Amino acid sequence: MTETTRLFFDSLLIQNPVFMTFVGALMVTVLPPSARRSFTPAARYGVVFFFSMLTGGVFSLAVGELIAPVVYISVALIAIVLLRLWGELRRDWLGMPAMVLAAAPLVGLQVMVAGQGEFSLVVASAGGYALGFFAAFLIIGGIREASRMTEARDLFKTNPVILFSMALIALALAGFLFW
Amino acid sequence: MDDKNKVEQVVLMGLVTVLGATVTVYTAVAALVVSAAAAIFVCGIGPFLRQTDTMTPAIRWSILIAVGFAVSWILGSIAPWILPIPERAQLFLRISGLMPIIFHADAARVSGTTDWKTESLRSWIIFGMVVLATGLLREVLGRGTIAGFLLFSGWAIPADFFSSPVGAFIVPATVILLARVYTSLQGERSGAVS
Repeated sequence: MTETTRLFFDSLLIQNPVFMTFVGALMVTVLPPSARRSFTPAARYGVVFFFSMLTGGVFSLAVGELIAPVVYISVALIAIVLLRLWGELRRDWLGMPAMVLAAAPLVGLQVMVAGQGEFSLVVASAGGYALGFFAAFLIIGGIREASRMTEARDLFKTNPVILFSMALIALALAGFLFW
Repeated sequence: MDDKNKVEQVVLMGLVTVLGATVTVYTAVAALVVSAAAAIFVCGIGPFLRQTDTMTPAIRWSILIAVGFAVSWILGSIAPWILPIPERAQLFLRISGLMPIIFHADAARVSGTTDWKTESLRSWIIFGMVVLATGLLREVLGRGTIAGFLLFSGWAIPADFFSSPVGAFIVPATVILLARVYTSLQGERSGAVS
């Protein structure tokens, strides 16, 4: 396995941005409506996240460490605008616009990708993170839907179930080691 | 959201910080300080950004997000010079200014909530308690130390998974579940009384 392939799988699984490195955890916990209706939003988020990671990763490598945060936040805000134009993040969440939910994962993923330090590795890790986020969004959408339909009392549904499920998935992913 | 439980709302609003910046007590303290500073800056700038033709809600929120991020990035970069912060946690300190909890007070003020100051303060007290308690629990159980000092005798074997992502998810999940059980019991009791 080449270094690039290994990094792709690492980013997808053992550094999954939702289950293992957390930056997308809030978004995935509160946004997916159900398994079936999560596919299109997950694909949109995955695509926008991928290109924002590429852009942020490449530009931050070019401008250097001091200016890099300006690149991260600029790319994140542009990505949020794109997502809103694409029909996502338009609702409110707890009295504030849902766009706030996407800011942390967008910046966090760019920082993680930029840490690779080389273009081919930036592309591989961006691909892995985007695919990992897409998969996590679908999985949690399914878990959220299943927990809603169960006959258990309401207090045992949705958010705690999702977080406990994430813990179990993290436990499983910790077993994936590619070296 | 399915439940209007305050603790659950607060944990969710600061979820990434609670997950990523609570591996030790020092990290939790740093996360709380950085988050509070970002929130104070956002709250201070918010009133100056009044809605006009050019200042649309989207632009206003973009400015607030950028301010929150700038504060947390700067303070999150300084924190490892002051406190022993694990390398993996530094990213979460730097992005803690982007969590919804930072914008909670300003959103409540703008929406016209009458007692927004009390509500926000209550949320921040809960958030502080959750972050510090999570940090303490994860360090004591996961590493067998408090603020880096060994407390247990030789026989105590730390449960490593508490300092891993697994433990990070289990603690807030348990907090939310306990808060829901408590609220439910309160509801049942008040129902039984009436």
